[in-house]
Amino acid sequence: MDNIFKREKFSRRTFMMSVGLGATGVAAAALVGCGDDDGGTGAAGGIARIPYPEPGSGFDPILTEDSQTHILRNMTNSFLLRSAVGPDFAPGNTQVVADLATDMPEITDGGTTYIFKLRSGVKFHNVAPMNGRELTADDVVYTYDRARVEPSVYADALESIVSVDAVDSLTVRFTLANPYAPALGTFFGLQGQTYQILAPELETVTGGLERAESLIGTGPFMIDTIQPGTQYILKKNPDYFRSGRPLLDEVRLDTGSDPSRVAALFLSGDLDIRTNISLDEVETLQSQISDLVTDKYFGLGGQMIQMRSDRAPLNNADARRGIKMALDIESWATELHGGTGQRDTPVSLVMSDFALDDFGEGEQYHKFDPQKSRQLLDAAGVAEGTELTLEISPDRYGALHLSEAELMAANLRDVGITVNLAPLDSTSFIQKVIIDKNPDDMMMSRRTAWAGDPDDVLHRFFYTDSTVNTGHWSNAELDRLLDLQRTQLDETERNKTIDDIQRILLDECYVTHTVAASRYDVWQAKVSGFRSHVRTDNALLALEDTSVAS
Amino acid sequence: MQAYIARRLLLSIPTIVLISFISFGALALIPGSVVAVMAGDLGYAGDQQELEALLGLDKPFYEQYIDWMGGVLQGDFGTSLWTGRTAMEDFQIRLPVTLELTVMALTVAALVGIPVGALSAIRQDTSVDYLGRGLALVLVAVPNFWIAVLVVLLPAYYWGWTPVTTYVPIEEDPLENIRILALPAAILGIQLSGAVMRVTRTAVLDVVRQDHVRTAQAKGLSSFVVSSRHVLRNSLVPIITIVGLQVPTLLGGSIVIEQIFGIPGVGQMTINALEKRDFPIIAAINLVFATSVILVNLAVDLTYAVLDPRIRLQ
Repeated sequence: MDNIFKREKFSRRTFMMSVGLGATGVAAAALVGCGDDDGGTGAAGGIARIPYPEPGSGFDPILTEDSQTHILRNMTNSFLLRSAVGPDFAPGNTQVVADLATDMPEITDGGTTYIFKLRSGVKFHNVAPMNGRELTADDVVYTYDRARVEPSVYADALESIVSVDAVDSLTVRFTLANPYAPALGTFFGLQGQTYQILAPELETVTGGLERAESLIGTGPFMIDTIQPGTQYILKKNPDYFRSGRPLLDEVRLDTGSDPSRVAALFLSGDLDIRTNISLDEVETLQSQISDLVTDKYFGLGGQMIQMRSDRAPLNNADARRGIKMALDIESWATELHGGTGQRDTPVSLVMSDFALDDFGEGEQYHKFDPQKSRQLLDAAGVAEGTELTLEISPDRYGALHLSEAELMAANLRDVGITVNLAPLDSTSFIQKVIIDKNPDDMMMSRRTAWAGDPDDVLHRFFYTDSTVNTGHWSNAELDRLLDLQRTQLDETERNKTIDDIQRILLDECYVTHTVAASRYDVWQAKVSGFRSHVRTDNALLALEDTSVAS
Repeated sequence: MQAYIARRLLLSIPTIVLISFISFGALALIPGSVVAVMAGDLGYAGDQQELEALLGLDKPFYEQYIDWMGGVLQGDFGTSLWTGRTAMEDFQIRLPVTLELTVMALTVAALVGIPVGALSAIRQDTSVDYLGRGLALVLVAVPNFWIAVLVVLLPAYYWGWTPVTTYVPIEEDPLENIRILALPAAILGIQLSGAVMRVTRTAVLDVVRQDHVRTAQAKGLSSFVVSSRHVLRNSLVPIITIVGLQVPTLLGGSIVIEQIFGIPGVGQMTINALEKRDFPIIAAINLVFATSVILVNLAVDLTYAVLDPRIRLQ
């Protein structure tokens, strides 16, 4: 358990203090920057105008994974820990820092108990029904207890938590059934930001927590005006626990989501910040706005081609390997992403501490080689002229999804395989491929490590009993390693296991990861203090350090 | 007249029920249910049946329809499966916006289409007529969403300015509200004016050749009096018909235009509901749109009697 936070995702200093280990990792701790912010150097004031497609799912954070719901909740509420977002942090980091907690948790009992100390004097917004009441440990207990049971969509993700108790008014204890290595990332880290701390009184708001009127918390901004279909206006919280923050007086979230409207408003200077836009759009904006500020970074997601391994011909590993080797993914990166993308690996590139140095046997299949591809396909009995179906959903995953599918079809045509593209609308895609788990031969989708932990993209997709095992993979050794890494609190040991898992995946080729594309956020030059973040729904946390010149 | 209106309203009830039943049924036939959208791809597939039970979707289709219709009869148009908001709440905010946009668009269509069409007919086979007919063809042929995108984007791209702005409710600032709606209403109305121009021209040409017009001219009445009192009034029946028939087109067109201009009307609500398979809301919107169309048709029929005393509504 000596180096579980080696990858700078969590505060190394605090962790070491909490487990009584040596005093190394000072530099990383400085980066994390825990504790109260003294107000910084940013000039206060201004109004930030940001496009914000209205969530179709209401505002109860446990009833949806819709990032639009969480974006707004993240601005009005706080968390135990939060992403390291803001001007002092690189956009591609997956670190977390203390938020309502005074520090990182004390971890005891062999990794089954997590104890958080809460800041004192933190107040909810001074509006009914909270009326500025102080936050207590009971609010944290309420939040997590609510999230742990149905109909919470996060009940499964939190099933390892046995109990959440208030030790005293400012101390919360989480008890886990077993040591669980992804706990910090999943329960309190990046994914933990879906557990905005709520209060029981909010259930008395008319319509309950699903209503925008219940956007009341301890966060930097308070809901001021709700105009469904038009805008949400948030004002600064004068009682926010970080003194001197937020700098902005007001945030206006424009709900008009039509792309031409958003582009026009940004070009005309009527919007200040745009997140997660395409390279084409960036280039257009750069040609029109000379002082445009751009942040470029890798996200937590990536496209992948999943192959059905429970029936011919793709139940043969050589057939899957042959298909993978036929794909010239480096050229896709150039063609589709202006050379800014990279060939992806099973664990997202952004989690660089899990980067695989030695690909093992699978390295040979991780290269574009049409000749070898054809040999493998022949060995697997996949004759020239074979037809395979690829289910895709540009409606769900965007235009690049279709472009990659077309490039894939072109590459496979060169080795004698005809790919029949089967485009489905988003809902039909989910029904057929995800829920019914019945893709014909192959499907193209995205995977995202929401928690910033490799378990998120490994156990969730490749475990035999996973509810999203759409390719019907079944590999006993893989299952054993996937279970093992969850129990390994020693990060060196866990890293080795995760390396082994990645090697199996690269060798078996159940999935071909395609291009890890760069993502872009842009803002006007009058905006100061804003930075991007790997999770778009967390990027707006940087607004508390942001100011906009009038 | 009152008996006629009452009979028409009574007859519209089975029509509305039939439309609501068909639209409710059609929703059940769309591939991919709201449960699929809700389940997403985060791995909650195992809970699908539980979720269906929670939403009341495990009941047979006819039971769901009867439940929903029972609510409608009591003024409850249903509640969103996603947001907990009732359809009535959203209608109260959004329906007046769409109606305002529609009325403004119809006004634009009438103000542009009728004079140009009439002028085109009166100056038949002159350059004015050719210009009017050409304009009408162009306006009918060009889709309004294309015009809207150009109007929104081009000034922003070339001059760093866009006519798009944040919607202001009419009760907050009536002038600003009208200013904001003027452009989208003009785009919707201008396109509709193409059809109005063509019908007006044909109707006016028909009337101009009739005996009573020749008589009026022979009596020495001025061209203006002949045109406005004898020609235009008698041409209005087909024009009102075409304008009435365009209301469903306008309601449909407003779905896209509202989205582009960020206007919080029923159109925007429709797109959100369709994306989320939020069927109580979609069913409520269909019901309201269908009722609107039936009422507009009734209003058009009643207008005939006002315009042409020879028409008796019995």
